[in-house]
Amino acid sequence: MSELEQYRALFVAESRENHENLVKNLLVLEKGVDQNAIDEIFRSIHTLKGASASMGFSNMERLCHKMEDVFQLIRNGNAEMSKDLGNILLTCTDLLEGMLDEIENGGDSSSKNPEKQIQALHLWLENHGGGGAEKRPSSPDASVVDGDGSTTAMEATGTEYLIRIAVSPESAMKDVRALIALQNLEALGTILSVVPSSEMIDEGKFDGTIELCVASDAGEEALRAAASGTEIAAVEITPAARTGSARIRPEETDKKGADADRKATTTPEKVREIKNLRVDISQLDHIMNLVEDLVINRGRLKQIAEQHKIKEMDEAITMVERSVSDLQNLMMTIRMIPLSHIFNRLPRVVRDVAQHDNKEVDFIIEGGETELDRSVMDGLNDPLLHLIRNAVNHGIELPEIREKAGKPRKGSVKLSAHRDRDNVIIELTDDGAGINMEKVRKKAIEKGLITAEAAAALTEDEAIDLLFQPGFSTADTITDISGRGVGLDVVRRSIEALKGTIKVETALGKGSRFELLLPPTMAIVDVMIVRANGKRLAIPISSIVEVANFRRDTIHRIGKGEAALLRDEALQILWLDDMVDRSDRPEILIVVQYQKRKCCIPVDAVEGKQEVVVKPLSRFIGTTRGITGVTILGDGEVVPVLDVNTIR
Amino acid sequence: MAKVLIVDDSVFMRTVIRDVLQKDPTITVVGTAANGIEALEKIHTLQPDLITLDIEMPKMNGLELLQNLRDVQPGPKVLMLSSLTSKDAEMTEKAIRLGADDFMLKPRDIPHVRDIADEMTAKIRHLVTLVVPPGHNQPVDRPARPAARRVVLIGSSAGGPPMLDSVLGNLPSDLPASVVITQHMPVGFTASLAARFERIANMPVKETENGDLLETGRILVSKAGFHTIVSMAIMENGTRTGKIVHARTPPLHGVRPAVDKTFESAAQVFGKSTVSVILSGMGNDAGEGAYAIKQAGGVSIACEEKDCLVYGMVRSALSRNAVDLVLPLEKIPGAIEQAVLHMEEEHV
Repeated sequence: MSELEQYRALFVAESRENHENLVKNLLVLEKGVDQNAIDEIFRSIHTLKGASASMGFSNMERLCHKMEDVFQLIRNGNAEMSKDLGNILLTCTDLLEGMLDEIENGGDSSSKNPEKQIQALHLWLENHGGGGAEKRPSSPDASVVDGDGSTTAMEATGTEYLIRIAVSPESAMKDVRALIALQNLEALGTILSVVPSSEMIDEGKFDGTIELCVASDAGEEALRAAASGTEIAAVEITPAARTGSARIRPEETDKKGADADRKATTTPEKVREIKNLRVDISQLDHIMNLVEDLVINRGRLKQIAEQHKIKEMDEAITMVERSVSDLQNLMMTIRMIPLSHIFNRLPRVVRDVAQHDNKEVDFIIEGGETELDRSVMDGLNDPLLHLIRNAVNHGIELPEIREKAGKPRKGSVKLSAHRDRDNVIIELTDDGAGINMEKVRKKAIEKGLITAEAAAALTEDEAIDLLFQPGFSTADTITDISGRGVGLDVVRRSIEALKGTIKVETALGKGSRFELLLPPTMAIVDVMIVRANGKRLAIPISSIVEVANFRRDTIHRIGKGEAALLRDEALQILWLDDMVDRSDRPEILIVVQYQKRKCCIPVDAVEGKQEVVVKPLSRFIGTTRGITGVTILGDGEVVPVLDVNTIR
Repeated sequence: MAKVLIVDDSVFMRTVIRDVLQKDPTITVVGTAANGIEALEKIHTLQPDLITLDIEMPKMNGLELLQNLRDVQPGPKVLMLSSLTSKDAEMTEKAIRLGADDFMLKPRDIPHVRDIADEMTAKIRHLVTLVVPPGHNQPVDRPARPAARRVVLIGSSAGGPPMLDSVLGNLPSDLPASVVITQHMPVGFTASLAARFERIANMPVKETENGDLLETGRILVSKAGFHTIVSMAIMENGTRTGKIVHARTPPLHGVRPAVDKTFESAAQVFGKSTVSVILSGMGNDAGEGAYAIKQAGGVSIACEEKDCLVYGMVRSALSRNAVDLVLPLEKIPGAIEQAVLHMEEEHV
């Protein structure tokens, strides 16, 4: 069910668009032939059909299917649009709209019976030779396509046939030929009578023709194929006396009827109900808080039920649990908004910066439909703005310089977003100058961030990291566009505050690429509950890469700190001394990773995995490195949630 | 990791397909394109291993894109996603002839999308690893194909086509038997299936027609919408063989063609010169058929569970105690050949 719901909104939105396009172009066609409009209509119907099939809305699918058949003929030039057809099609679009309304309200279009419209289209198709144009004769495959249940009465009951088989007179073994034909027919149905009988044939009383009556549902061609063969001169098949199961022709739905229908559906004038409400975001936040409380209390109830082993309560809690998770999911989706909300403002920013700097920039946006939680979105705006300004301001070169470097005058900045499993990835790439790492090193030394010796020893990744140090700016002059005393350090901090990460790749002269990895929502997190020195802690699963045994003989002292050796990899150990004091019997190592840096946390025991609501720490506690917030477990204990990104 | 580009003009479809594919850890969706022109650009920049391709699109449709892709070397593998219409079936066949590697139906009925999700991801994994050396697998058509006296019947459903690829690709061109494949498929799409197998198999492949004779060295694919009944035929020279009869008898187990119908009727005609093979498939079609073949003295082979996407059809045969050999997929072509050759000894 949830799978279906997940797509319902998208389905309705796209289908409404296609429906509007359909109506618009039908009206264009009323004014005269327009191939473009015909193509548009065809595509719209085709998409409507495909999408409704995917959603399993069979009534809508069947209607669209017929409409597509009609337009197939028109598009190929095998039939022309007429006023009557236009009217039929418009009643169809009215019905489609009704179906979409129903679907939007959670239905599946099953209460809207499209039979009348389908019949009208069918009639039109038959009159225009479309009924069999793309189908092989006598294979009503439309009925098969529409679902095997609707096969006509003709083939469902065994129809009786009179068959006359004549073996060619030259045949040397007439009896064998006849017996094989008989045997083949027997496999396809019931032989009611045969003259001469097979016994008589066996006895040689056979003059070359047999007549038989067969009841079979295999169809005439099948019978013919089974009876024919080498040295069979002729096979005559006639349906036996009317069995009364002849297909009932649909009553002619005449054009006047269709007109009348259209009038009936258009009056009274439809009043579209109000489907969308504007809600104050603070109210939504409040509801979210209540849902979080519910989640916590659900955990508490579950624990009580487990302790006391009350069966009825278990069942009741399971029901509550289901509603709570539905509610939780619903709240999550309500809070999701497409990135286009902030993306759409950016082209203007790019244009302004480019104009100011006399640069020429092509700005491409992709994946604006990717959704993020509102709270994540709020925090994303400023860092993104900063990065984009940077890209144009520092990244893209002046047109003349670009031409000298053999690049097109116009630089390109591309912003794209996509969902990758549990994360949303936003990429910003430019084909500008890239970041000069030598310059970065020099600057860092100048600014006293690092000594010359240390700078020389830095790896590429570590050098890139310098960019994110507070008080670092690579631009030669501070401009009023991107240099405002805030550097990439602020960007990184903002992204980390959203539980995201930022990564930079750069190639000198070719451009840079910033990748932001963000959780689509912040409120509910999967954590591992661990115990260290008797105290419980929660570690987000997303940052855990491995859980290993703690072995004292693998611990080595390196410089000021300690490291554990795990499969030839030295991992810095983070003792949680400041938080819970040194544990005297650590048994397990939790290996965590932040970007490319791995380290490990020794704990006493792992208690389990849980979905928890992370509550931020109150502001008067201030920022605490290593802790993102707290969560309240089912038994009421308040447990800190570690933040691997900032732990030192 | 298989890099996939999704080409479809509907945002809705792109979303559904992307969600389906992203659940598989071995597949990365590297991008989406709304029409052929966009797709060409993205194929160039993103170098996907495979594209899923819609037929109807504005600006440049799926067939036009395929034509353009002929110049791209090495191009991505192409999986056509078609809707269930006779028109699309026809276009799909054209697409296969233009070089598309495989096809399947677009996701229908989201509540049950998981059923097809597995099939789609399995198909993609199969396709990206499938190597068909150009020019290598030209089917060898014999100058004269004698009437078959031995028959190999293969029955499959969901998950069958990739397995059929590997079975047919490994059957020798001089297999002294006729092969009849009954794969559950919507009406109209079996011609595409046959066209696709033609590229992989070492023997000529064709969709069945009413009255087709079973010939040695030829593969027939049961046409959907009918039951493929094998009835008896006697040649001028007195040789007995089988011929195809398309029966419009109501669907059996909800399908038409039903494997049971083909297996049972062929067992009547070919008796102990019948080899049946059951591959992946849902439901219990094939159980009765395999039993009939056992009763007639034929050999019945089934594929191991680990190689089947769905084990229902094999299980239905096993439960009737109607299977001689349960083998991993890669051993099946060899076993078919052995069974057919062994029969010859018995016969002569």
